[in-house]
Amino acid sequence: MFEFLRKLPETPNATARWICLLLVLNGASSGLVAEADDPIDFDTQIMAVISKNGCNAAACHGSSGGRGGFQLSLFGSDPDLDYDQIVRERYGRRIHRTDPSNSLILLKATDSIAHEGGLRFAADSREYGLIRDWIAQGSRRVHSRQLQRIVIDPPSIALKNEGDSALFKVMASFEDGTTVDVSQDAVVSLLDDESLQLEEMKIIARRPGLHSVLVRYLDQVGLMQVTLPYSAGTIADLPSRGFIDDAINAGLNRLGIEPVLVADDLTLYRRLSLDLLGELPDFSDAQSFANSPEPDKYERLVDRILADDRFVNLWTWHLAEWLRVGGSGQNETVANNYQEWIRKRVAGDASLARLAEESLTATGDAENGATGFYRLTNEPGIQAELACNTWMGVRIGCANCHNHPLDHWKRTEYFQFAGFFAGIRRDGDVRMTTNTTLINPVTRKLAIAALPDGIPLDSADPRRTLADWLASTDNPYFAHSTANRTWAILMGRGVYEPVDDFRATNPVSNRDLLDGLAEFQRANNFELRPLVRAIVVSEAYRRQTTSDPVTGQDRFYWRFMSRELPAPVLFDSIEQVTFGEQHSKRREWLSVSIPTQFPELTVLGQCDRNANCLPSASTGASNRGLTENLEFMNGSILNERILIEQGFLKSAIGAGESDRVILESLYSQAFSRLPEAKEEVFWMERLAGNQKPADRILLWQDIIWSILNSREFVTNH
Amino acid sequence: MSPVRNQTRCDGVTRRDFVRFGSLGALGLGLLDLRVVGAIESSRRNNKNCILVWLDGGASHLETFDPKPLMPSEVRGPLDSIATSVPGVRFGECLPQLAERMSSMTLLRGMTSPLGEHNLGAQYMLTGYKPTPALEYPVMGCAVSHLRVGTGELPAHVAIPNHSVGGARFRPNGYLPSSCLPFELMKGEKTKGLNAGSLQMVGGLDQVRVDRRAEYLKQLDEFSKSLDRAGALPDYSGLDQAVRLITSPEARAAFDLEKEPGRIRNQYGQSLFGQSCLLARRMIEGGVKFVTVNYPGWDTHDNLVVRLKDGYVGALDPVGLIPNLDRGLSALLADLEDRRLLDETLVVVMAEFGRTPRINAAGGRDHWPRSFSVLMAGGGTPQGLVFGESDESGESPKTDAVSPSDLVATIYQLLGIDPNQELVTPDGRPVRLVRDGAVIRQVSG
Repeated sequence: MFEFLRKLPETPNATARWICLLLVLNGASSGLVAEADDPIDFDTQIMAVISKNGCNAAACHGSSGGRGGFQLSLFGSDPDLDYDQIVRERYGRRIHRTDPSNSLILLKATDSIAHEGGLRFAADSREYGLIRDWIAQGSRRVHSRQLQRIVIDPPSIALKNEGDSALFKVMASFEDGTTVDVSQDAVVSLLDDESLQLEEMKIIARRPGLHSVLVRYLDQVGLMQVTLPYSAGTIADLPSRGFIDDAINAGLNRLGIEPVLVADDLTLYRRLSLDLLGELPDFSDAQSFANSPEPDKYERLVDRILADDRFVNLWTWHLAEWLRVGGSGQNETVANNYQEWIRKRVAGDASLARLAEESLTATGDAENGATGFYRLTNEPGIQAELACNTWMGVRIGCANCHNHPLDHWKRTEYFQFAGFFAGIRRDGDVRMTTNTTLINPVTRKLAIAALPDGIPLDSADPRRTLADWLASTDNPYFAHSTANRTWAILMGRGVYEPVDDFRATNPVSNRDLLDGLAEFQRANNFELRPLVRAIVVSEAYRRQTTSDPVTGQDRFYWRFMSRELPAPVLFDSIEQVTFGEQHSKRREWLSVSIPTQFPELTVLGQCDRNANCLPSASTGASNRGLTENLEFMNGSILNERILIEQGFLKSAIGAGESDRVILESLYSQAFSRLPEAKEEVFWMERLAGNQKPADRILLWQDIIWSILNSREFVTNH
Repeated sequence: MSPVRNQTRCDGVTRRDFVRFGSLGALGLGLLDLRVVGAIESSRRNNKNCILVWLDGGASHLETFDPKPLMPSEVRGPLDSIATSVPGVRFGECLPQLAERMSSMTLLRGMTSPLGEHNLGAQYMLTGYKPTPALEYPVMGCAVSHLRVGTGELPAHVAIPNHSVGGARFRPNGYLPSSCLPFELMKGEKTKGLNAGSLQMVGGLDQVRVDRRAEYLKQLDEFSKSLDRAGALPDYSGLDQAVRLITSPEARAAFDLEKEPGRIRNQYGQSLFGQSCLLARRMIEGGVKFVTVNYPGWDTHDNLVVRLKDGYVGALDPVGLIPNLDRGLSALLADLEDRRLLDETLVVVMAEFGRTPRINAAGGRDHWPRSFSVLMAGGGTPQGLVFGESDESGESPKTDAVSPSDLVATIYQLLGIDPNQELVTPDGRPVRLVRDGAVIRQVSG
């Protein structure tokens, strides 16, 4: 026992250490009790051995249809089936009651007779003994205990130096009140086997960072995080502007990462304008902001921007991506109405809970844009997947066919969700009927809508109860996932990624931050503007970007992540620079409801809403390939716009502007700054030899072209 | 996820690998000999190209390369089968020309994968790595283009008409720089014939100006970087490649199908797939190392007869997916052979998975990764080899099962690229080109 204590990592909190120790003592003692002469339990002991040894993995007997005539449920999700298969199928020849050692399952597992899966465990192993004894006891199913939950002990580990190690345990609590150390039978794996090393139940740190250990035991999964700081020592006195910074600063301290300072005023002005309004700012406005001595000028600017109509345009676009406007072959009328409904809501209180509720309970013809969500599919199962993905940030698609091995979603729950949409008719009108033909393959009966914990449903339209439940405190997913997605849009990366894959085994880079954001969402009625405001006034949002190409630490928000502008924002910005006074000719690319109709948008990086559009996690390294480079060099997107009649360049040359004036107005429009001295020298030298008018305009075309392709232009930074 | 008790060393070489290296000695091949053989091999193989025909959506193995004519109709399906030039090996009825060619091709009938979702399955088949959240891996075309330079002005990796595979939800370059991304002929465009409009220099643009633009752009980024205003510098090789491509008339000509006689164009068939195959041949002639011909539409959950055979209801001549495949692919193989390019060009026909052995209620077949087929020709592959077989209903591999990692390792080996070599991620982490796959020696020679 004391040996174990010595190997525990140094935790700053001594009490935590004692709690660990107590848990271990407690677990060990009850483990002894359970091991005595009690009958061996199939559901919790034999099933665990089967899972631990990979027998029910997807590539082995867990595959649909089984393997070699022997089928087990995937990852042990269905003990009834597995018991039948082992004890009853094939006339019970898989077990030998009178001579347990000659049971087929033991002969196969020990590779004593040909087994495609090879040796799983030896005849002198604990696993072997357990199965043999269970058969000797009559291979009964005693249901002596039921698993309630597993706890990984300790829940997280902080190590100091590379090569440091720590022990951990997996404790299982059963319904009968016992808690047992099940480390031997839990399936433990690493998300990144080069950063951590696992030796039995010892974890060794190999690379700095925040790493994850996955644990699976029976139908429960859990995750333990292991931290190894990038540098030693704490970082003192990090400025904070509220709960967001408090959580991020604590994380930076744990990992030994020093954040950078906040950016200058002109940079922040451009950043806010692009992130909240989707436009390049007016340079003289940016300058007067920078020159203002008011101490709270930044907060006042944010409030002004949040009340701007252009905020509605940009965030309608974000929500159109989120809710898949124009996806799945929606026609223009449907897509436009769907988008206009979103716009009205964003122009109002922009409450995500209200959007969810209205879209989930929508009925009526295409004039009612809220029905757009029901015009993405005819399949109740897909509709359920879309609803869960959009509003809870979870992927339940796998559970269509099998229980999810990495999460709590069960196949039954999939069909309970699908049941909410089974009666919907979409013959022009979206309406609720009681006619359904959807069969739940688990029960082989009609799929019945149901919510967790047996919440009673609205009899006229059960979707109403679903919508109410969604945004209620009973549902742990809605607040977390909507807050995370909004955060990802503004910060370049979600607290977990991908933002539509929230599950027990997907590591979160900062748990307190995510909980804080979710809490804030709830307290503010899930309205977009308060959350956006809280994020952009934080110190973390105001930080500088840096040119350091290593992005591994970006998920801790030590700098502002430079990122590519969304396709329509980039397109609008290109036109802002090139069209000059010809504003009226611009097409507002943000309001295009079916972006795939415009190949230009695809080349500029627009994702296809038939797939899943997620806020970009791009962090600066451009992913433009040859195809895009060719289009920019040679295609019409840039070349035609640079030379547009009465546009910026032709007007400036026509008006006889000097090179210096042209350069300054380009820099201030595109970059929200004036050229530095060395930049001015560089360009003036290029322009100096060329005073023939024809050459001069060609030269300017190429300079504008390079500005429109430059990192400083195509990113928000 | 890695196994609990990791039996591999840090470099991923398992103990079993050592046993295998060692056992060569016992066969009378000393280490020295091995090195000599290796050198000869690599020089012979160094110039291999690859045309990957991707049947996007997951082609049915039962209607193409692994029919089950003796099974009841719910397994056999609505189509017949025909004999091939290899006795005892049958193909689906819509593949008469390829059936004729079987004696000069290699067929893997024991392909198996655990992943039955398009995106994940496609990633596994194309990268050789099971997708994980920890790291994205490059598809074969990107790795080849990263390791090899094209021999002309053309890019090393071209996708015709595009690289929208498996739903296009992953970055084909994985951890490699974006410079290895394929040149996609028709990205984001609705299908309106094959052209490379973006290669035509727009009015007034010339070599001097194209070079000048690239120079200015790099200088601007350098200025921004010194001000910490734009994040990290990008990789310019995509830009540099674009510059080379635009300024080379030969490169532009390679994309021009109008330069082909009508007779040849007809042999390939006028379908988009047929013309894509023809363009693939022109690309190989122009020095492209890896061409992905993406043939979408194989996700046939319903109505096999119309989708796979007829093409539309009431067709007199079948123009569905399989007849087009038969025509385009066999024209490609014949053409490569005529031009003496087949020995140095590996042609691989594959998909993310096969289809369910049982016909579903809609008269289609659903996703089935556990057993399917991969066809190979040229590039030094054996002639008339059928490697592996599926069980009687095409449900599971029966002998010589091949995993996606094995397949990818074998393809690299055939192309003269060592599948065990290490590449490096941007954060400096060494990663083996293929980790869990074993080269199939019967196929790689």
